[in-house]
Amino acid sequence: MKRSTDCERIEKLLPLFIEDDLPDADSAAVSAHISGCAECRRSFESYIKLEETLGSMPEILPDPRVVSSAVSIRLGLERKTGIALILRRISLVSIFGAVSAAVIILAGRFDYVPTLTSWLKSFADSASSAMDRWATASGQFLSGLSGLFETPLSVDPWILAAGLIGFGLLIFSAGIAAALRSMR
Amino acid sequence: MEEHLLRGATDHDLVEKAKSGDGKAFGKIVERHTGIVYAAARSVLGNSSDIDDTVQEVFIRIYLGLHSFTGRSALSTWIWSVARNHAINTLAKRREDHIPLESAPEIASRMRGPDEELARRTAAEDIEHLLSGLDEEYRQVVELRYLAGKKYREIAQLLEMPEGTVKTMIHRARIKMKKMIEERDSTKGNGNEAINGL
Repeated sequence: MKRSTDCERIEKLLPLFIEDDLPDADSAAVSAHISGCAECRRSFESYIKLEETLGSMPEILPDPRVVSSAVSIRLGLERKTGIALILRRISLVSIFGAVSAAVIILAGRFDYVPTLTSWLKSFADSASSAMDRWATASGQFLSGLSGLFETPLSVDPWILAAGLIGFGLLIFSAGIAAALRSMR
Repeated sequence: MEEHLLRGATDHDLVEKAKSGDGKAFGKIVERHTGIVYAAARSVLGNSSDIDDTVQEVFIRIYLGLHSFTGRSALSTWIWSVARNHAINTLAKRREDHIPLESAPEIASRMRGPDEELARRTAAEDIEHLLSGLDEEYRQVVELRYLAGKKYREIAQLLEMPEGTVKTMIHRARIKMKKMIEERDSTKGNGNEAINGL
């Protein structure tokens, strides 16, 4: 059956009608026509079916997060994250160690922390004896400085030694932190 | 970098962070541009079973070549061109090696459950049937529009053509694909009549 001129005009407008890209007057004309013309309505339904099929295209894509994860694994980026996590923990442990070392050494030297338990004191005493050589060396260093400037220095060599060790551990932590930043 | 900060970051920010070794920033680039890379790969390779693997290879190339991206063009434009070139090279190599598309390894099926994979395959076949009737340039415009969800303006920018041309191409592609749907439905209808007539 030959389609009317009206039908041919509507057929041309249908793709734009589907996309809501028609002036209001044309859109109203298409609506009115397809409600009364079975052939043009079928054509309209085919366009709807097409849009539904094309609209389902994103479903054939895998989840972008899965793709991202797979690529990261192939590039070794996820493994880096794991190592970074371990290093971050080491860094936290070393900061904690630096603070603890300073507290223990000071507690072993001075008796003004009455709440320390006996085992902590005993551990601190062991640390104290191991630190004696450091303290002696630090004392000699200070004596040398005093002699050099002809000024008596009153810094306790124990505190100086504890400070040096704490400072060393903090430098170590800073090194780990810098390594972490360069890996990200 | 925190996830919520990455979500709001511009492509330029993500590229800079990825260049300095931020793996999460690169992961976000992959998530944002998966659609474009799929559209590029599919427009060259069709509904090949190793499309997922090809897409991953494209992103690996992008990561390795990130330092050469200067930002003069949009990131999506650069990714599109890397993906197209890689897909074209993959196709050429396949032809050289005489590897049939069906024998390639299927990474996609390892990513999903069997039901999900079957649904995806069925949908992919329907879509492939429609796209197979289009010339390559029409096909890539349709895939960018519907698969990657790009606007006409973005497609025009990617393909370096006027926005009006993109609209016209989509319009013509729709008319052609709609005819294919009608032909398929009419074949099905005739088949059912024949069965009923037996």
